[in-house]
Amino acid sequence: MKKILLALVFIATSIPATAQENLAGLVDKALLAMKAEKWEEALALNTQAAGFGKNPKMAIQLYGLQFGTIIYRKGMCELKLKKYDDAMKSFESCYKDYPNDKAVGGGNIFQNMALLKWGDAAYGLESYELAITQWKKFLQERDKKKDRYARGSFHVNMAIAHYKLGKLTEGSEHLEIAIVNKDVFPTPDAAIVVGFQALVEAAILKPDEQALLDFIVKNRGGVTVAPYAMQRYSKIFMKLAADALDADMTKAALSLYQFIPSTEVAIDDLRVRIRDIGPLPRLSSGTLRLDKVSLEAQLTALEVEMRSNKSLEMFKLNVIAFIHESNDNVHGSHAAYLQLEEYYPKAEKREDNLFHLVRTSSVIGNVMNTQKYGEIFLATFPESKYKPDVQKLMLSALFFDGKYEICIELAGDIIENKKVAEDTPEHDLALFVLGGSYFYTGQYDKAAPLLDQHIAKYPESVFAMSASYFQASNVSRLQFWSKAAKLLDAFLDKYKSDPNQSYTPLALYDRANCHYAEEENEPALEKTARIIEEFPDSPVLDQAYNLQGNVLQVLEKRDEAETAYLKAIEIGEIRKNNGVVSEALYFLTAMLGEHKKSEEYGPRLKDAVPYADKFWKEYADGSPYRPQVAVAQMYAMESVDRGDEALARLQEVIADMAKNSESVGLEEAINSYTEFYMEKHSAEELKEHYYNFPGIRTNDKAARAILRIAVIGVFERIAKDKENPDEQRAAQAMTEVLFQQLKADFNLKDLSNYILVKLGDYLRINTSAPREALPYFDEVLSRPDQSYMFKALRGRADIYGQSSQDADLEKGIQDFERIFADSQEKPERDFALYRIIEILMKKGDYAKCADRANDYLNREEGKSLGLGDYSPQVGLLLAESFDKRNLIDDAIAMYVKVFSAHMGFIKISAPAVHRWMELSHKRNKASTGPNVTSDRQGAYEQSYQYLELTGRPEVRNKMSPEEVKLWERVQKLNDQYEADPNVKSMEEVLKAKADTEDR
Amino acid sequence: MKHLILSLLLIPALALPAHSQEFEAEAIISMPDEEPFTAWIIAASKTHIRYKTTQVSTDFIDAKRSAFATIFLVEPPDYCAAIDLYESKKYKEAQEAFAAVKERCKPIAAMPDNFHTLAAFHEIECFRHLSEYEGLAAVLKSFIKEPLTRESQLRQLDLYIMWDAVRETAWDRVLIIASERDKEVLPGYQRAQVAYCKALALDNLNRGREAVIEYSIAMTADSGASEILAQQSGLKALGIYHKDPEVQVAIRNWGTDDENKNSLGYTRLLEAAAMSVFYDKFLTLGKPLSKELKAFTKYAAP
Repeated sequence: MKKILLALVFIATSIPATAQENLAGLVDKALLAMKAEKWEEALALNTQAAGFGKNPKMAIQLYGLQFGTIIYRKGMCELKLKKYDDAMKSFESCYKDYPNDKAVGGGNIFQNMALLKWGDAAYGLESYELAITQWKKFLQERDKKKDRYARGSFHVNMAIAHYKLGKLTEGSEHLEIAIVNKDVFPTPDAAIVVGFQALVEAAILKPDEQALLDFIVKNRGGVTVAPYAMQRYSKIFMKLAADALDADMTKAALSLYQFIPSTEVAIDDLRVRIRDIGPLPRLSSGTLRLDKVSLEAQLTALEVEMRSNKSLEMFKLNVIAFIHESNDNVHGSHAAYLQLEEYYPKAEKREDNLFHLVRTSSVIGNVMNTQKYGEIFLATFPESKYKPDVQKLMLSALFFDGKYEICIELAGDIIENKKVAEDTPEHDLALFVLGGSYFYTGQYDKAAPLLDQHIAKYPESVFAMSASYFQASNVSRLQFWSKAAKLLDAFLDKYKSDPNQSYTPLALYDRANCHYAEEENEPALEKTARIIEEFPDSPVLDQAYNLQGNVLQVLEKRDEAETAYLKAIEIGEIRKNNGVVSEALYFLTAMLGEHKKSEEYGPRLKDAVPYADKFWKEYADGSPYRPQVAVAQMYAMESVDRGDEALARLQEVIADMAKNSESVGLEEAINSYTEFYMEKHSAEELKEHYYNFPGIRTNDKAARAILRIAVIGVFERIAKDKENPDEQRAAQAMTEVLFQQLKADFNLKDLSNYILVKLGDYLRINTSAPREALPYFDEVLSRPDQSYMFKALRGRADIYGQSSQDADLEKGIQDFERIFADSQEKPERDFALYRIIEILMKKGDYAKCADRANDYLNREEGKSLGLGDYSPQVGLLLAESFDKRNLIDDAIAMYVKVFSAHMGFIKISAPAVHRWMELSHKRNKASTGPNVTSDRQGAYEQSYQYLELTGRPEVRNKMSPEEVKLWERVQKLNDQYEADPNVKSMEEVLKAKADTEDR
Repeated sequence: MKHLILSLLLIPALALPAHSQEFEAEAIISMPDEEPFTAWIIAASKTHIRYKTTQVSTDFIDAKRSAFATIFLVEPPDYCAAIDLYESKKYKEAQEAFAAVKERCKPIAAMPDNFHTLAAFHEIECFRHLSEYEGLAAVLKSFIKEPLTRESQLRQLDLYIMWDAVRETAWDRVLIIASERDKEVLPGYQRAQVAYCKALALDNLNRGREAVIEYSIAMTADSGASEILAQQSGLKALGIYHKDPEVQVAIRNWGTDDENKNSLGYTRLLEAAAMSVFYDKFLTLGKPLSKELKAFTKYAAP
């Protein structure tokens, strides 16, 4: 057999001349095409060359084993062209059909390499088992000196093939070999990344997260490439991490994200590499290949990306936020969103990011951030779909963190300017927050309608319970005791079985307060006891003890009250509730320090002193009870010879309080000071002292006004002292002057409620223009401070009640009704109902007047209102109401009742007698029997007796001129009736009576 | 190629280290408009290099650095190995490896981004990762920063001032420095450091709630890549929850009639529970939660 030597640099075998020319030419051309990577052309030439062999047997016969190299090259071209099936056949043929003699070695120099490439082709066909088999065979059979191969890529491919077969352990062994020896083999970074990618995919598919994590821990350094290079693979790692996350392999995903370097660091690294290359277009060393143009392009791309709205950093933080939140760690997601907003505000998803920042800030209770970023959100994305949610989050967070002033601003804007539609969750929230914020800031009058509206409109709201409690408590703060009582009872009943009992002790406390205000002491004690027993951790526990003490004190159970106050101190000190402790100390000082001026000092008076001292030493700083304690301790301090110290303290407190026009208790302090001062000084000295009170400045107007009122008070007392007419006159004059000065010198806004009421009453009672007092009362009633409210209502109602206008009268009734319903002072309620009856009469509403008068006068058990200070007046009004309705018999009967029961009360009895006489005379009923007088005779006789009884000097001398006039009217009518020929004079009556007795 | 063989005497600017003859750093260098070639630099000053053209040569050439268009230092294997250890988060071994590289590469310490300086820089970083602040301060003292040119590395040098304040437990100072740095857009790993130091300061200044937020930033800034910081942050944040009296009340009342789901303590307990579970799943690094912190996981949502 003629063997052909192929014209290869490493083959020098002789071949026949003709065939040699053709085949050799083809082989040359094929090699040139291969070198030029013209694979299609090379394949055609190699295929043509292979055709020379017909079949292997013949080829070996014709050309020897060397012919196998042509088949190998053909296979290489097919491999390059991804014709894996053909390539496998070529490599199989090269390996099997042209076997070298092992001993001699041989002609087919690619026989072993064909195994390697056979494996590669099988790998291309995804026949991984075959690929692994062939590669392993190659490793066994290869000539270690001659058969060189790219070891890094080989082990990476081996790893990938194993991964594809789900053999993670074996695959990772090969990948580790490639990584560990990457500088020696070498293994290119790209190959390592491809291998690692296959590992991640296989681990996800299996799934076997731990295998992946173990590999990362062991080979992190080897997988990590320099930042400038790593950024090329960043997107691959992002994809792998996302796939891991999708496969619920969060820990693996986190590890994969950690491979991605910061864009800034990658840019930094690229700049250094570009600088170091200098003007060279490319540079290589070992596995290092640097192409300047490529690096510059990468740098530009990264710089653009970093300035863009879609950088890797943004994406990573978004994913981290998702991972943390998916695992309930909202603090983590909040942190990620916070960074996105602070450092990447250009992010494409900023609207989402910012919304989530507001949301997570709210969830973790970070009100500052909720507010801050909520405002940024609303300003930046005013039309966002998240807008209602953001508003909601801001309000919720602020409200539940107690930022009520801001809530009022925000929710007020929403409600007042109708920024959300009614009957929506947003409106529900805003209404609740606004009402609740007014409630918590003590603006009870503003809170009331909002809370009422919320409860009516949103009974199913998530805030329903809170709103119900606020509504009830708010009404109690407004001192509408009876209404508050009903609401609180309803609340306690409705939510008695609710798992959330946080409001229950608060409602019990408010209810106990209502009871206390309405003098229902036993129920008040029952409620405080419930708080103490059932809610020992309640925030109002110490306050409940104080209230219990108050009630027990009213019930004269002073020892028990003292125990309760001491308990309040004990708990308050543990909880650092200084307000409650100072209140309890005040209660103890006041209770133990109670003393009537005219009496001897009691045995416990001195016991008040330690509590007062404790107060001043530990709790006085900033305490609202300073004036109260300063006043309450006076007698106790005097009893231990510390009176001057106490008076000095009081003076100091007054001066301190004077600096704040809103100080509560200043009036009482000054009054108390006045009382003690007057023990050793004259009214004139007091006036002088108070006009220049130590420590009070010119602009402490409220305090100066109170001091003037105190002076007026002293002069008023003297003006009432009839025993010294000269002093009385002088004092009256002084009082008038002082009041006029006060009115002229002080603006309404400068004056406290006490002063306003005092001035209003003065104008109402003592001047000819009582309506001038209305602004004073209105000012008091417009303030959140509820002190002196009922006195102001009384003053205003009285003025309206004096009017002849129906509208005014109606206003008067409204004010009096308020007093009657809610005042805790019985005399105030008594007076209010009396005046209601009186105004109803004036309005001509006689039936209603009679109804209310009957209510007032009812003494039947269970129905009695317990009132009676104005029974004579009310009786007269009832009689008049019958009279006006021509119910003559009823009127006559009632007039009799009135003047019979209150004969000495001339202002009442005289008009009653007078009208009764008129009605009887007019009715003119004849006598119906021997002992029954006719109407006219009766009118004469009884009025005669009335005049006899009330006309005695001891009575008559005490009558006021007005009363005398009324009495004389009766006398005149009596005289007139006596002149009636049909009426027997008393003389005649008595004579007839004597005659009858004689007979 | 026109190499000028100069006598040492003619180049007084080139001060050679004592063992310079044993040192060589592979580099690819080129003169303007000429082909690059591999050289072995045996010493360098700010202005000159001394190099050999073959590894085995005993001749060397001294030349002005400005004469070259390219001086590309090839990463030496020991530096690559140290980086691998560093990236593998084996900081103790990496620190020792960098110390050795630093020592060996002294002769080229004057060159930009040379491996002496880079190794020294990474050595300090290792000390930081290991929370060995004394070691950090010691290496920093002798560190010459001029050869560094990467902005992120230069900024890191500035951040060591903050770490030094941590070493001194000067919390007010830490807070001021960190708060200033907080305003900058930093790479994630540096933001994590700033947040962690700020959190430490806040924590030590008894501003626990703010500290929890900063610890959370430290845990998220670089996806937790600064593993030790992330782990420490988790532990310290949980410690804050554990010290919180409100949380302790919520634990006592858990599942009892006194449990108040609206209380601050209850809310924080749930936060702590979620964080402890997160730590357990993702941050342990072989350092499990202490028994008392592990107890938080009981309160996590199922």
